[in-house]
Amino acid sequence: VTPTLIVGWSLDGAPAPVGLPPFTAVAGPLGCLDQFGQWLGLNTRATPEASRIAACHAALVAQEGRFWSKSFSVDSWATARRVLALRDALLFAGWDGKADDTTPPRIADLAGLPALPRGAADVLDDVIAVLSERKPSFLPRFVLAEPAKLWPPLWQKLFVQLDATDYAPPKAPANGDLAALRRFFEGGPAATWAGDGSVALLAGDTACSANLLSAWLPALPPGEVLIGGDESMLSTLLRARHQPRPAALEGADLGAQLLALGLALLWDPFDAGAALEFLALPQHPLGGACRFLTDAIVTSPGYGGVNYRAARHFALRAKLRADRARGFDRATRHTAARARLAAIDAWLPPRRYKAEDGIPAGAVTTVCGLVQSWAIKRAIPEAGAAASSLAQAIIISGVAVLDNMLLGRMLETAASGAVTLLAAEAAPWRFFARPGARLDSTATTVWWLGGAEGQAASPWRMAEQSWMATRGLVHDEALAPARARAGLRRAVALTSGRLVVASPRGQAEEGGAHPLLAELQGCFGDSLGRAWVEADALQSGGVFAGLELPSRSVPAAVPPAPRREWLVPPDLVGPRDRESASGMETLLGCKLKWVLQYAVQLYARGPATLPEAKQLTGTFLHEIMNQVFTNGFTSPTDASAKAQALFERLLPEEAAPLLKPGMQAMQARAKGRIGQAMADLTSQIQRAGLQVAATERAFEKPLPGKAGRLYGRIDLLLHRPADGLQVVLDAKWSASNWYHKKLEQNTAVQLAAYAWLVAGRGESATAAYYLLRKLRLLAADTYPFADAEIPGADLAASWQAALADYRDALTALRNGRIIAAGVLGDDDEDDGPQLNIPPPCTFCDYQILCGAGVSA
Amino acid sequence: MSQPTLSIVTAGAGSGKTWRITQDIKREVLENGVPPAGLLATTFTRKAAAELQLRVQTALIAARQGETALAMQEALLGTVNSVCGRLLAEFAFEAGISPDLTVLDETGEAEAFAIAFGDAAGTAEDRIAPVAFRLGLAGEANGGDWHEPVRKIVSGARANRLDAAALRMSETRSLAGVLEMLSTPDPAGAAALDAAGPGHDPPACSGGQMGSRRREKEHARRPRDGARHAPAFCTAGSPLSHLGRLGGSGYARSRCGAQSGFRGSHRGRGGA
Repeated sequence: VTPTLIVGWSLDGAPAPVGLPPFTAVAGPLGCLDQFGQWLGLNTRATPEASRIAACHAALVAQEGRFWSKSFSVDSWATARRVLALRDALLFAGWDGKADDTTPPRIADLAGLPALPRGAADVLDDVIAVLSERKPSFLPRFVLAEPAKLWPPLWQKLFVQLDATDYAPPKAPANGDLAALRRFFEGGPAATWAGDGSVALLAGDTACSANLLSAWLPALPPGEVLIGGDESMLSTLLRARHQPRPAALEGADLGAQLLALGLALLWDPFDAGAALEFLALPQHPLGGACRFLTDAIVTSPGYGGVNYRAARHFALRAKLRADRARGFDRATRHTAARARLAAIDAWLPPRRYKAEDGIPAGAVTTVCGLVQSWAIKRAIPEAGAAASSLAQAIIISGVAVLDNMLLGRMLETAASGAVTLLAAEAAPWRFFARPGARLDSTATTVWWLGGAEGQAASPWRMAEQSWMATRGLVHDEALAPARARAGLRRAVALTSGRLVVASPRGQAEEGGAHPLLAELQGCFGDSLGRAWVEADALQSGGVFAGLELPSRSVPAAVPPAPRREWLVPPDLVGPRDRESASGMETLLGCKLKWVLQYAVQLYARGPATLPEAKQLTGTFLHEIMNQVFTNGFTSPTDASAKAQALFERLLPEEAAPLLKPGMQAMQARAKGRIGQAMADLTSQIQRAGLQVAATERAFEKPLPGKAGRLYGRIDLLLHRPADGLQVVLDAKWSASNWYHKKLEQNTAVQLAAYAWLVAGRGESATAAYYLLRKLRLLAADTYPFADAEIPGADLAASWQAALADYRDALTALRNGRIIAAGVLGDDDEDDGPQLNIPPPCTFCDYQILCGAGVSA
Repeated sequence: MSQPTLSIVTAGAGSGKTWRITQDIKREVLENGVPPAGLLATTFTRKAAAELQLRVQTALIAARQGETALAMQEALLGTVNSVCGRLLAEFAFEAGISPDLTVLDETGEAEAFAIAFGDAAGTAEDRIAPVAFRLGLAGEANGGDWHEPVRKIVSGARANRLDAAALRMSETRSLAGVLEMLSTPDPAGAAALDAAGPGHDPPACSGGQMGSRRREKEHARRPRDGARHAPAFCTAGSPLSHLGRLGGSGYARSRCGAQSGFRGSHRGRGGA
């Protein structure tokens, strides 16, 4: 028996047909070339795409005044990629690579390219050349899924040598509308849609269509066929609806992600966002150091600052501790710890490159080497493929310095070999990404029409096409429509019972009308309008394409109602030994929040993220202010100048996102404002006769009534030697009226607590806010700042009321009664709080538990 | 190739424009032998583009030209954006641009603008921010950002193909509109302004040195007669008159009259 190989344009990677005769196999173009490699003892592996483009790139550099030259100066890699594609397309079209006087200029330019590493066309040409000299006798019989005339001429040349014949699909008799459609395909007359269930059309939005199909598919007998476009979401949509994922999920692998982020960290300014993404990757080359560095970057988004240096130190200590626990000797531990530090500095290098200078090729290949070493160490060598490909491409291209665009393009090519992230799942149906991949018959075909399979516009100009015609060259754009139509018709012809076509609206609009719809419309004309079924109308059951949709009524679920009162056993929750000023304010605002945060210690944690620009700016300017006060100044002008100098110096270390392109205005605004604020604030301090007593200092005192101890960390403490007055200043970046209102309504508990904390025996103390952005002091009294008083504010009274409310709150907690302040309820508290603190529901992570803000 | 001719079909919705274009394309392909790649038709929406393509393909299939129908994907049928994008990509080498173009979405466009505008914005921040704030073009609600109005002006200028000279002319006309609007204060207010200001030529606004509180008081005394206010910042018919907030909202008018008009016009005359 002579074995048979069926070769089809769309058969690479397609599921095997069912019921093939014995000794029959299928292959696509790439699989076919692989087979010839084995049969002929020939290397039929094409050079990786990145290396080929790199070689083409190197060739284009040396050639000036060509049709690609202007584009090459703008985007060299994409130009090289396109030029190479044009050359390959011409070779497949049957070109011999030579030019003469009649050759159009662009093609003559292509002929002037030097020899390039082998692509598929070159490999095919080699196979043809070898076969013309020696044709092994053991070759199988070749059968073509698409007629030879629909293949590019270079393939046709091979098929002539092989005496290939055409594939005859199995017969699949049909009736009714489906038979009419198939007759139309074969040249028969148009028909009227009769609605016998053999051709059913489903319209609707993507979700409704997927809902219906996922309910309908299980009713089919096993082995039926599902067709969905390459780019369609069908596979994911089915998986989301508890059906098997019929196609593999592909994407960039971990090595490619590591490479991309590692390269992003070479650019100046330091990309704190990329650093966080990098540190969050699994199987990380920096191991346990990631958490320290992540915390440092979240706190101070930048590189090399105090927190960053401390994180390196903590990482070193942690590594030493871990290795000691493993029983390593001292020398080994220290060697490993030094290696960890070196790794941190290699992945997050202190030297970075400005966009205008570009990155030296050596720096990029160093990162490629890091990724490759990591992949080998982790025993996943395939994860180093992208890095290896990029390094190779850089060497071949001979590029010395890479700008942002070139590096991005090269990375895109090197990392484009998507790997299988999740394999296809076993399903009762078979899935074909392209209709042309289908070779066997079934009773039912379900066809999910994604966007139309794009027919690329021909890149060849009219004169070029004429020249090609005179030379017998056929460009693929002339063949592809007929090939696609043959595949489409065969997929329908192999259906014997029922053709179900789903056409989700959004996708059709994105990618243009699918040609199958035009074929159906051409066959059935206006009568096809009756064939459409709206998926939305069948969401609660019904009959679709002759099959009953399973459905049952489920009572509507009622979400839990918002809950104000939460009861726990008495004495389960009590005061903390050390309460913070902010904790006290939280308790007075909402007992449930305080309990969940401090007693239960329940935190909402997501991936580490950078603070928003506003918050980042506020924190950064706060730090500058503290440093100016800590280091001292001679005058308001000096304080302003020092603040601005510090701003410049600390920006890369503490607030690098403000250095990013596009942030210049915000940066200028922040720098100007901190200068103004420091001049203004220090002037006011001077006028009030105050001196800086302390910055960033913690204070602690026992609360009256054995209610534990209170502590607080104070930004700035001022002192007036003349009368011993202590003034706490709490600086804020916010420009809202929030702090004004807090003082006015006497709910500034934290500020009142600070004043109480610093007040010594016989010395009075007060406190004020300073709004950096508004250059404004907000104080509870005119003493010591004139014009800063907020009418009605009384810190001492606030503090006394807060203490009383604090005691009452603790009593309520001890009694086991926890109130969620944000949830409205009957005002059943006999003795309400003295302070009217609004519930702290804004930005509260616990609303999902108490239900505050959830509409009934 | 024959010389191109331009036919304009104007008709109301549902009157058969798509049918007419479908017939035209079918005739050109079937009777005049125009290859699909030689066709260009644009629509305003993707939905209409998909509909047009479907109808043309159906007509060709019904005429037993199935392969030509499939090749219609090579024709330039689509929205104006997609057709122009395809033309640029196809003729990238001739245009000397990258052959790998990406159409930015709204977010990408805003980011690209921020990067392109970054240096200029940083340099101008100290000078522009206070003016923009007083004109109501920035504010704390926007993080003090005055870039969005600039982006709209740039976007409007690009859409209308205004070069730098045309943009300057538009600025001059806009300024003239503002000054005209500010040239009719009520007599009491004008007297007060003349008395307080450093002596700018009437009828343009004077009083650039006046304290803002005082200006507010003066403004409060003016009659709020809408008829006396000119159309606001952009002169009617100005190339930028469609640019949103600059186009003469009541908010912009009152802001201008109350506080910032004086400073804005003062700066404007100085060639801001």
